[in-house]
Amino acid sequence: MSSKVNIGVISYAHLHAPRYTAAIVSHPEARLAGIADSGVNAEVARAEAQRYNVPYFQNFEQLLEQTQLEAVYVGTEPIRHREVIADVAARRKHILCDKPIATTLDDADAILKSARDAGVKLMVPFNPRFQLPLITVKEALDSGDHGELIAIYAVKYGRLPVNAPGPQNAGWFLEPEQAGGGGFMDIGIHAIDALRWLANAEASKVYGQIGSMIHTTLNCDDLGTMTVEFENGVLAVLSAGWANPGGHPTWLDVRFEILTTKTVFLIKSPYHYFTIQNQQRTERRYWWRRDIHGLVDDFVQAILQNREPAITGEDARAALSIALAAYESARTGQVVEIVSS
Amino acid sequence: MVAACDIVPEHSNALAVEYEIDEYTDYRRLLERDDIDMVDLCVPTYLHASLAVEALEWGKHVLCEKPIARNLTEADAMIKTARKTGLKLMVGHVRRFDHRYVEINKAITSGEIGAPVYIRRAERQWLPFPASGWHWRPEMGGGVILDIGVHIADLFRWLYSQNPVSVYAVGRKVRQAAREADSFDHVFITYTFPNGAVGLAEASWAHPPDFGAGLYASLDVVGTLGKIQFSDQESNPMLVFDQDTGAAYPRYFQFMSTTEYAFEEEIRHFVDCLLEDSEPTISLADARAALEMVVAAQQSARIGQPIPIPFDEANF
Repeated sequence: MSSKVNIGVISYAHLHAPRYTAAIVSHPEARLAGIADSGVNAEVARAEAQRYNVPYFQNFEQLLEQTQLEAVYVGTEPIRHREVIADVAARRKHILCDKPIATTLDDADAILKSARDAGVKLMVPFNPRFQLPLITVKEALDSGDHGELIAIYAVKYGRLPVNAPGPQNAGWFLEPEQAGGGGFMDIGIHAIDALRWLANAEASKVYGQIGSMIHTTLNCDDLGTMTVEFENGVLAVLSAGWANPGGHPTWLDVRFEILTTKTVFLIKSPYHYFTIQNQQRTERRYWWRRDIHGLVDDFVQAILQNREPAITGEDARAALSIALAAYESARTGQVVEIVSS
Repeated sequence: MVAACDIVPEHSNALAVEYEIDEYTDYRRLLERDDIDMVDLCVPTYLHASLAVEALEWGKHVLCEKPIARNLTEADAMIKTARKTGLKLMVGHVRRFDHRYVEINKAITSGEIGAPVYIRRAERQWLPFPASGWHWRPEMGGGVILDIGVHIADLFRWLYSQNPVSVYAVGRKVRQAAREADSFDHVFITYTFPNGAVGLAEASWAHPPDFGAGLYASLDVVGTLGKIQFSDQESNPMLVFDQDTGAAYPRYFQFMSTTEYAFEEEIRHFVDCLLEDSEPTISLADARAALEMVVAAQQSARIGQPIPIPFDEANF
């Protein structure tokens, strides 16, 4: 076995796939073993394989047959995660599965079980855990120097995925049966994991208002508001969705306002930035996004050191259960209680 | 201004000296005077109803601090007396006279960001009063949900131009004073409007001292065609960095929550209404509806369930 972890990429359906491929390629202890895709963005996947000079496979089973392969990044539509991961786990490959882990808790449970039975690592990449401002706050909270966490208000807005630059087709993001939800699920789930991580507790009660509010011709939601109470009393509210107009100086608008008994942390951006202006517009440009590299590095180190990844399948399941509870609350108008599994 | 009254003689005396006006410690002496047309009631919330009704019955027009009263029964008594006497009663929802929000309201109503679908309003500070102070006490000031929440409720009604259909509120009792008074000092309140639009209010007295000086308020509006982002912090044109005291956003007004000119414009508007015999821009229906939103929020926070609006307090 080589000293580098051989990682394959399954599917370019997810818009994040090119970033993960690039992070794998640039990681000193990882090697890109190949790219497989027969789905919606197969042509993009093939071009990327050519660009990185790695084998391209029409179906992922062929990739899994590669003898040196140790792990995969799964970037399919969430509805396919269960079926794909069953095969990946059966071949005893470690799994970095993009979010949400699944579209239902049943599927999430099946995914967790197949990884557990095979004894492979399962990680879901939630970016906020590797963003510097949030890492700083998490360390501050854990230090005990800032009293007790009281409340968090979080904003997570992006633009409509189908407006994303680049060659990938993002149409499935607008189909809840494939994506597990609309804008609230797509972009909110990152923040939901962050809330649970910061609160350091499980959610107990969820109230949500979610709907197709901005792009009213969509067949899915594009904006949601959720109140979560955690078992330790921490309160959190999240506003998330595809709410960012084209004129916003960045694709994302991510904010966290965190109150403890002593301190307020006001995070106005997930990344450091500079501002650039030309004759037409003002753009806020991030000069360092270490989160993707941090996520891939943690996945690689978890494999090399045979430890749990920073974000586990259980974390991803818990985030999904909170998001689904918010959708249920939005449907029924009632508060949804979450029973910890 | 011809007279000032306060039960604390030093307070009424200070005003009397500064403005060369008469001073009273018994408000009835002031109400008895025939040459007084209007009173500005700045008493604690639990005294609004009895004093407003008495002042109206003495023939005075009344400008009353917000919220209109502690509960809807008291509010209805005030409204009934105003109708009966034919005198004007206006509640000081002063945010409507604040240029920050006047300009944002103009941008919304002119359609610059399409239809608003999500509004988040935060008003956060360290309330500098002891636990014995009336602001904290549920039966006197109603705590942060009533006292600050009613500003936000009125703002939502104003910016959305409609009433919500339900409310869900969660709260914490963070500071010692809040726990002693058994009153929330940090709350999140979600109002849902008829088309599914949301007003999310965050009201807090549990933020660190001095937070309110430079960072008191935030207002985000998400619309179908655009977005508005406002915060006292980002709108502050200056940051001061001092070798002894560190970094600070200077305050330009005594209270960043409510500027002096906003109070002045509010009072001027009411006086103009008296002089011209016109209706105040803030109607009694507005004041009652804002109160209804926050008493429903109080009830929601108490029982942990969403509450429909219109809210009938007799049912709870």
